Amino acid sequence: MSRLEQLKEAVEERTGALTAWKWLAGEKVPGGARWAYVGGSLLAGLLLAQAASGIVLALDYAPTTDSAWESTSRIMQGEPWGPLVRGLHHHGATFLVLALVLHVAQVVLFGAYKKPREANWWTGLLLGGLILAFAFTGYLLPWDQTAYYATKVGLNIMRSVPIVGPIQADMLQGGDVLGNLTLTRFYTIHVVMLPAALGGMILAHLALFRRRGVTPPPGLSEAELEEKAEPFWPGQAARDAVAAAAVVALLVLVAYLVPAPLGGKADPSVPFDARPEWYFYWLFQLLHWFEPPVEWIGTLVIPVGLGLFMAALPFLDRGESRHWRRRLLPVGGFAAVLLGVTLLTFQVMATDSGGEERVPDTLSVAAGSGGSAGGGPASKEALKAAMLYGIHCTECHAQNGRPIDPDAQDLSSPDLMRMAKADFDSLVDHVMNGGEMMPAFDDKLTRPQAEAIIRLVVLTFPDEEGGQE
Amino acid sequence: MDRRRFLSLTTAAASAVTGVLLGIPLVGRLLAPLSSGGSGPSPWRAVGTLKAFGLNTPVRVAFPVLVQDGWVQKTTQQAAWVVRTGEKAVRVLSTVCPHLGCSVNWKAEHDEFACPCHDSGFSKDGARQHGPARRGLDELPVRLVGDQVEIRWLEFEPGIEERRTVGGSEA
Repeated sequence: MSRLEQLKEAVEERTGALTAWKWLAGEKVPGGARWAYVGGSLLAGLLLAQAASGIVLALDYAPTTDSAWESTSRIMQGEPWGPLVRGLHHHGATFLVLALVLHVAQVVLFGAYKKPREANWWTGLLLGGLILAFAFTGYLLPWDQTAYYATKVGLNIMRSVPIVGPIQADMLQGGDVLGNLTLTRFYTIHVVMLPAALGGMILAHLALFRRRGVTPPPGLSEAELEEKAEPFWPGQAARDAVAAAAVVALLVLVAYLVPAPLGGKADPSVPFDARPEWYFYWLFQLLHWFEPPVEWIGTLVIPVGLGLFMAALPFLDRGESRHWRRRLLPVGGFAAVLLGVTLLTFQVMATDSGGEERVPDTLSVAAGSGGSAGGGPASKEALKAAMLYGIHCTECHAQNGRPIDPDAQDLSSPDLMRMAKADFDSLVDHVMNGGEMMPAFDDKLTRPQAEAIIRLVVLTFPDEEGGQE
Repeated sequence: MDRRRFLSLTTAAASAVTGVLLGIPLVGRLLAPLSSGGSGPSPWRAVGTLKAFGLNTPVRVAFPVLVQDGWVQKTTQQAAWVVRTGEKAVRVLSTVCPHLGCSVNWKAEHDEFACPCHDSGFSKDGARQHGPARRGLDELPVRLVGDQVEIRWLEFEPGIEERRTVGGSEA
C-alpha cells in the first residue's frame, strides 16, 4: 500500500471522512443528471455568496443612526473594493429572488411537491419566506431615505393587521421612533437570527431531499430511470458548478457595472417619494387597488392566501400523474399567479413616476457619485466634509442644503445655494465666528474642516441661475 | 413509578426548568419595546414670523425636535405644513400621511396635498379628499408668540380613523 493510501485509511479510520464523501457524492440520480436540477444548487451558491459578501460588509458597518449611513457611504466611496462588494450583496438579493422563482417553477412543473415529498416542499416555502425576510431587514441597513421610508411604510402595513400586527411592528421598531433600536434589531435579525434559521432550514430541506431523491421528469418508466441512473458526482455536480459559475460571473459583472444605490441620509424632514425594492412592487401596486375599508384584502388576504395556496398544492393536486398536461389546474393556477405578479411589477415600473419629483438628494450625496452635481466618486475630503456637515450643521440646515421655504424672511433654514455665491473666505469666517443666528463653530471645527465644508457647499451648488430644478 | 419513567420525567422537568429560567428574562427583554413610555411632549419650536407666510399658501417648514432614540437623546429634523389662514391665524398640518407614513407634498395645480406613495389627497385645510387614508392630515399644536409662529411636534398612529398620538404623548 502506498503512503497516500495509508494516510487515507488512517483518516478514514479516525473521522469516517471517506464514507461521508462517498455518501454525499454517490447519491443516485434516477434517469441521469439534468440541467433542470441545477436550481437548488444555484440557490445554495448564491446564498453562500450573500453570506460571504455580507460578512465582509459587516466588518465595515455599524448599525446606529449616527453611523449606519456614514459607514455605508465610506464603503461606497473611501474603501478599496468596497463598491464591488456592496454591489455583490445588493444585486445578489435580486439574483436570489429570481433564482428562487425559477426553482419553484421547476418544482411545480415537475410535480415535485407531490407525495411523498410534501414536507420537502414546505421547508422550501419556509426558505423562500426567510429569503424575503432577509430582503426586508437588509433594506433598512444603509439608512438612506429609501431605506427609512420603505421600512416606515412596511412597518405601518404590518401595524394595520389586527391584534398581532401592532405587537410585531412595535417589537421590530424597538422604540417610539424608527431609529437606533430599529437598526440594532434589523441588523441582529439580518446577520444572526435569519442566518441561523436559514442554516437549520437548509439542512432539513437537504435531508428531506436525500431521503426521496430528485423528482425525475414524468413519462420515463421505472426501468428507464434505473437504466440511466448515475451518481451525483461527477455528472450532476459538474452541471451545478457550471450553472453557478455562470450566474456568479453575471452577478460580478452586474455588481461591477451597476453601483448599488445609496441615497441621501435618512431625514424625515426632507420629502421623499418612498418606493419598496422591486420584488415588493406587486404588493405596493395591490395597495392602489384595495383601499379602506377593504385594504386588508391587499395587505393580508392576498399575500397570506397565496402562501396558503402554495402550501396546499400537494393537497389540491393529488392525482397519480406528475405530467403537467394532466395537472392543468394546479400548474395553470401557479402560472396565473406568476403572471399576475409579473404584470403588477411591470405596471409599477412602467407607470410609476416615483422619484420624478424627488427633491435633490442630501448635500453629502450630491457631492458624491451618482448625485445631481455630476459623476465621479467623491474625494475623501468631500466625504469627510459631508460627515462633518451631517454632524454639526443639520441641526439647523436641511440635509440637502435647500431652503425649506425659499421666501421665508428669517433664516431658520438658510439657503446654502444662495450662500455658495458669496466670497469663500468670508463664508469660512462666518462658520468659525458665527453671526446673526449662526453660532460660532471655532470650538468644534478646525479652519481646514470649515473650509472643506464650504468647498463642499460650493461644489454641490455651483453658482448657476435657478439652481438645479 | 418505574425507574425509566422516573428518569424520563426528571429529564423533561429539568429541561423545562432550564427553559423557564432562561426564557423569562430573555423574552421579557424582547417584549420590552411594547411598554415603552413615549418621550413626552416636545417643546415649542419657532418656525418663522407670521409675515413670512403668504395667505392660504402652504409652506413647508423644518424644525429641530428632541427625541430619545434608544441610548441617545438627540435632535432630529421634522417638517410641517404651515398654512396662514388669516391676519392672525395659522393652521399647521403634519407632513406625515395618516395612511402609512409617507411625506405628503403640496400640489398647487390641483390645490391639494398629495401623498406620493398611495395617492391619498387632502384639501388645504387637511380634510381627506380621496385615496386610502382613513382620516385627514393631522393638525399640530400652534401658537403665536408676538409675531413668531411656534409649533409643537406630535406623531400620530397611522392607518386608523381615530386620531391618536404615538407613545401616548398628549395632544
